[in-house]
Amino acid sequence: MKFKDTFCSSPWFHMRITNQGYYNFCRWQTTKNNTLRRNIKDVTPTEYFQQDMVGIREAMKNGTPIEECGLCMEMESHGKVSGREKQLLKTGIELDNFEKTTIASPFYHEFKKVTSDILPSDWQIDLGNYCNGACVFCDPKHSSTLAGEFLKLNLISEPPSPSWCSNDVQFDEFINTIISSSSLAYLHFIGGETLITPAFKKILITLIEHDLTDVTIGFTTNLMVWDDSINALLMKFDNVNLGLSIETLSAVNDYARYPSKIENAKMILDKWVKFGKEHGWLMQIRITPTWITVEDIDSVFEYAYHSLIGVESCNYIHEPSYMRMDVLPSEFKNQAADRLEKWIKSKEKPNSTDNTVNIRNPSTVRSNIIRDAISYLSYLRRTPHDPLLIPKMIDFITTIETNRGNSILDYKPHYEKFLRPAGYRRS
Amino acid sequence: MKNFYDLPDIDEVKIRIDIDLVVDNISDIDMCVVLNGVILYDKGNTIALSADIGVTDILNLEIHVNNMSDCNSVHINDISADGVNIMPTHNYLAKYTNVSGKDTPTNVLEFDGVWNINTVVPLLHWMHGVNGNGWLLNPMNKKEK
Repeated sequence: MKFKDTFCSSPWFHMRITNQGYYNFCRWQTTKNNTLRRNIKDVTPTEYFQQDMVGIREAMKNGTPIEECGLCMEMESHGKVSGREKQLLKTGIELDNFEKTTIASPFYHEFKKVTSDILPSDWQIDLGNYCNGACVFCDPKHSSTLAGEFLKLNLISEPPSPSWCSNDVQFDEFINTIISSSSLAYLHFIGGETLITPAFKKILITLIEHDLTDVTIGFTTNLMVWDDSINALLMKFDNVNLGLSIETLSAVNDYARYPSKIENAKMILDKWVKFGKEHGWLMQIRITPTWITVEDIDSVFEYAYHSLIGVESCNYIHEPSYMRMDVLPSEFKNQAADRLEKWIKSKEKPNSTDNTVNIRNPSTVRSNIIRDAISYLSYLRRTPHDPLLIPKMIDFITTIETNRGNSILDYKPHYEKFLRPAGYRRS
Repeated sequence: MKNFYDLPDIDEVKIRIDIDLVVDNISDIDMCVVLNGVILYDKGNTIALSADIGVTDILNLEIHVNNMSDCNSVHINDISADGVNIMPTHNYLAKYTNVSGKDTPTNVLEFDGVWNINTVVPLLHWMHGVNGNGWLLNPMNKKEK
C-alpha cells in the first residue's frame, strides 16, 4: 500500500478514554484480542499519549498497515468519508495533495517525533454507561438500562465495571490533564446519555471556571432528554457540535431505540434543531444503520437534507455482529438499496469535483448527505449477505422481545418471509 | 512513497504560482508585480508570470499600478497555486488601496494604487481555511478558525 493510503495524523493530537477507563489511540479504532490495554487506573492520560502511543506513531511513519484501523479502510472502500480523512484534514493534510500538505502541516515537525511532549488537542471522552435508553443494537457497556435488562435475561452474568468517572481520583487526574493542555481544541463526549451523566455537567463547569470556553464541545444525545440547565452551560461555549441520535423518522425507530417513541423523539429533534440554529451550533444526525432500520434511513436523509444539517455515522456497525446490515438476505437488502437509490436520484447529484472531507462544512452539507447515502448504497449492493449471523440474531431478538412485549413484525411485517424460516416464532 | 521517510526535504517542495493579467493599453501604465518581495514584472508586454514559493511560505502578492487613465485597466484574470485558482475566486480577501478611495475588492484595477493579497499564514493553511476545510489544529496553539 502507498504511504498516503495508511498514514493518519490522529495519533499526534488525539486519544480516547472509554467508559471503563481504557485508553484508545483513536475514536475509530477497533481493539485486538489479547492486547494489553492501558487504563486510567494504571497510567495517566499524559503518559499514555506521550509514551504508550509511540508504537502506533512508528507504525504510521513506517507505512505499516494497522489492524485496528480497519474500520476506516472499510469506509474508504465504500466512498464514505473516513475518520482517517477527517483527522488528516484537521492537520491540513489532503489526500489529493498529500505530499505537499503533509510537509506544510502545522504538525509536520511533530510527525518527525514518536515520543510526544505535547498533550492531545482532540479527545473523545466516554463518560460511562448511564443511559435511559436501551437501543436494541447497543451493549451494556454503553447503556445501564440495557445492562439491567441483560442481567435479568441472563444475557450477561455481571454488570459492566463502573465508569472511570465515578472514581474521584481518576476523574480529577483527567480533568487536570485537559485543563493543562495549551492546545486543547475539541472534546467530544459520548455515554451513555451525556445529558444525564453527572460528569458531563462537572466537566462543563470546570472548563467554564478555567475560562476554556473556546474549546469546542461535542456531544451526542438520544433525543429522550431535554435539560435547560445543561443548555445554559453549553451556551457559554463559543462552539458546540451536537449529535442527534435517531435511526429513522418512522415507527421502527421505536423498536431500534427502545423505549423511545418516535413522536417524542421527533419533537425533541425539532426542538434541538431550532435551538441549535439559534445558537449557531453545528448539528449532525447520528445514525447507526442496522438490518432493522436500513430500509428506512432515507427518512433521516430527507429530514437532514431539508433541515440543512449533516448526517454522520462513525462506521458500519460490526458489533453486535447480528445487527449488521448484511444480516438481510439479498432480496431485502436490494429492496433497501432500491429505496435508498430512489431517494438519491430524487436529489441533485453532488459535484464530482466537490470532494469535501469536512462533512461539517455548512455550505456543502447537502452534497455530503448524498455522498453518505451513496456510501450506504455501495455497502448494501456490495456486501454479501451473511446467513451465519441469522441464528444468533433470532435468539437475541426473541429473548429481548419477550421481555419488551414487542415484535419486529409489528414494524417490518414483510420480514416475516426470512425470519420465520430462520426460526422466529413470535407473533 | 512507502513511508514518512520518503517524503522530500521541506526545502525541495515548492508551490507554483501562476499569474495571468490582461492589460488594456499597457503602454501607458507603470505596473509592477511583486511576489513575496521579489519583483516579477515591471515593464514589457509579458503578463503571464510564474514563480515558485516554498511549501510553507506565506503568499504576499502586490500589483502596483500607476499612470492609470480612463482608457486603461488591469484585469486580474487568474492567479493560481499549483493550478488551483485563488483569484478571482477569493477576490473578496484582497485589498486594493488606490487613489479613488474606493477599496472595494475587485479584480479590475482602474486607479493608481496597490492591489495586494497577503495570506498572513502559509498559503496552504490559508487555502485550507478559505476552502471550508474546517479546523486546522496546531500542536502549540489553539486551532485556527
